[in-house]
Amino acid sequence: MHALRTWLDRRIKWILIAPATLFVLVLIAYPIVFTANLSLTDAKRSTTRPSSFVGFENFWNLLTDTHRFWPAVGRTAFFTVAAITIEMILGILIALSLRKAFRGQAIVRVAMLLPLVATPVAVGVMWMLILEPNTGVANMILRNLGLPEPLWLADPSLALNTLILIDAWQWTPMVALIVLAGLTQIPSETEEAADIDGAGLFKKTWSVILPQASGSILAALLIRSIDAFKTFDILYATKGPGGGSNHEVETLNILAYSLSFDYQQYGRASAVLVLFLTLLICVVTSIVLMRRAVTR
Amino acid sequence: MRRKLSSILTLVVATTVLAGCTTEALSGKSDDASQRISVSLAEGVHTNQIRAMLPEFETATGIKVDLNVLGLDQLSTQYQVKLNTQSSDLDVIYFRPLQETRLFADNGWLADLTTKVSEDAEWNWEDFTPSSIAAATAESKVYGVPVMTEREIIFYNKEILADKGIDVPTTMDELKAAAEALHDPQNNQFGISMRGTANSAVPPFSGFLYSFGGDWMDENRNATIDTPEAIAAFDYYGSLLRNYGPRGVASVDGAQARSIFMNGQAAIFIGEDSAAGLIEDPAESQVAGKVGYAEFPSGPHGSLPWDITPWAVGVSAFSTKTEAAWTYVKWATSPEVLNASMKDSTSPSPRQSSWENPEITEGFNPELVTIIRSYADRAVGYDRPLVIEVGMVRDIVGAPIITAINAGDVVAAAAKANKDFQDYLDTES
Repeated sequence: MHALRTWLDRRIKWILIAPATLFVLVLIAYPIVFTANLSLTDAKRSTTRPSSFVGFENFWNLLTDTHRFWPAVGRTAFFTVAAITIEMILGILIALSLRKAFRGQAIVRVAMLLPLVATPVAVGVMWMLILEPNTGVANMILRNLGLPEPLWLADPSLALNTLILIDAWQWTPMVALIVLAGLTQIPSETEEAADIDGAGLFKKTWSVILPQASGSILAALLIRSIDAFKTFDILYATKGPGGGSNHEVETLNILAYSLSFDYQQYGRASAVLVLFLTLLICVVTSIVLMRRAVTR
Repeated sequence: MRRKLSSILTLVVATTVLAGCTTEALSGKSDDASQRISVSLAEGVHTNQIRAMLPEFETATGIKVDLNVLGLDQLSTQYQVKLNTQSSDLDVIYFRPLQETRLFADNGWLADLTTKVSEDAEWNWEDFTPSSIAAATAESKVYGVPVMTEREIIFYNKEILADKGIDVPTTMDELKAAAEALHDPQNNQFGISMRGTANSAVPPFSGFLYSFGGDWMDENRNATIDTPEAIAAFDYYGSLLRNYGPRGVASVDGAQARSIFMNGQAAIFIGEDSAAGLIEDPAESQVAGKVGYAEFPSGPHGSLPWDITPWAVGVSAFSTKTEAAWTYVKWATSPEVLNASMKDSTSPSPRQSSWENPEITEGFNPELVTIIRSYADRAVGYDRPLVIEVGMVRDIVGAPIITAINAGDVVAAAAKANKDFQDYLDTES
């Protein structure tokens, strides 16, 4: 017993971090290594069947695929940039307007939280039912008002834009809350000084308030960028496999899912995921670098 | 502090080791674990019946059943995740024969039931329709027992047709004329509702393809979807939906196509007869009691609808409780359960004896029974290409349907699809 205690004593720090390290290794590193390995094979139909090493053939096939892969890259970038732009602008505006105490503030804050707590799949299904062009309530209202009836999710040229708005509906409140948290930390003295100096509302907000909240704004940007980049739920729930008949909302995530679960082309799907992860790392790194530059 | 911490850790390690021993000892002594099986299946009419009758099975056999009921897509995904890892979690699996038999069999995921099915003369394997047996068979081995059948028919809203004085269409030309006459989008009423998304439209389109004289491939496995017959079928299906279908039809899947008809917004719906139960359910459907049924219309090559087996039940190759699992499969496909499923839950039975028994068919609309009987000698046994990778191939062969709906160049789309399909067929084995 004494020997065991001494042994434990010596290695206590390693023992204590071991569970967490193992957890990370098993649950994060192992799947990534497995996927990277699979991406170099022609594995299909089942991952347990014998497969052959094909080098970078899957990657080459993808990088030369102008039918599914490159349009999916474009849609992923467009969806992320557009959704983030809308969410950041609206989120900051909402946070600014909620900063000062007002009557009914608690109610407004709770109402803002509601879209956040809803499951994205449920949000997707709800909007799909609302926007369904034949049976949905949105077009029924437009019809009764004699207004034109867009096909929303059913129109291939409109579907991705509609989904960007749905994403903004759900996630703008989160941006607002994070930014609001940053805004409440700002000491009132700086603002008072700006008032005394005669700065207008815009000048004061732009030059005094927002720079002080830049940390939380960039945190919101980072979290939302990663999330928007890998959005899956609302796209799949509203448009189904392949991102619709014309692949109109097929992002890299949807493509990888289709290739693995609809086509059982595990090698190719893994190659998409490896490329996707690489892109994601690039995006995150650039935002982190930007954050460092700003906060320095 | 450090000393205290290490004492706690010593205790934790010791307790864990002891606990491990105890659990092991207990599990060795526990009652026969093979008497508890998992059964995975999708929501649907047959599933409702199984749920209701399961206590009888559990009492009679002592086998405890964990029902794992999921949506169709989730079920398919779960199979791939668990069977790819050769997990023994799954015992009994319900699968879609035309979509999955060949893939699962080729992957070695399903237990071979060939000898099992012929063991019990009273249970009577010969009673199942030959086409349903064929659907659950691959390379001469039986991998599943059929639980349900399904045919492509016309559903029509009697009130709307009577209002406009339109007769029930019997040919493709009449169908087009009827859809045109009944199409009134200003008043939110459409001539016809059918599936329009590329992948989901493949089954309903099949009947049109066959009736126009086309097929997916010939007997030598050469792709034949660029033939004049196939192109005529693509054109017909696409223009019918484009001109007289619901708004945004290229995004309309199976559930939406059916619900548009159930809302009373479509005069005609062409789809699977197993939907009749739902369409006639007053709690779900606004057209319950107003629905007429008709045979699939005749094209240049006659009326060639499909008669398929949408569900079969088999045993996972990785199950460690195959005997208990087979006991369940036999019970779930017994005349007793399949007849009750058909009579009480309108799930069309794959057993021929069910259709010969008026007591069982009385739950069905008589029009429907007549149609189903008339299909016996002419229906085609598949509603999608018979290949291993059905998911991908459906996207390939469904692409010209979308081109046709979008009024694009169908000849070029069919030529491309035919080439892609042929490339697949050449490398399938």
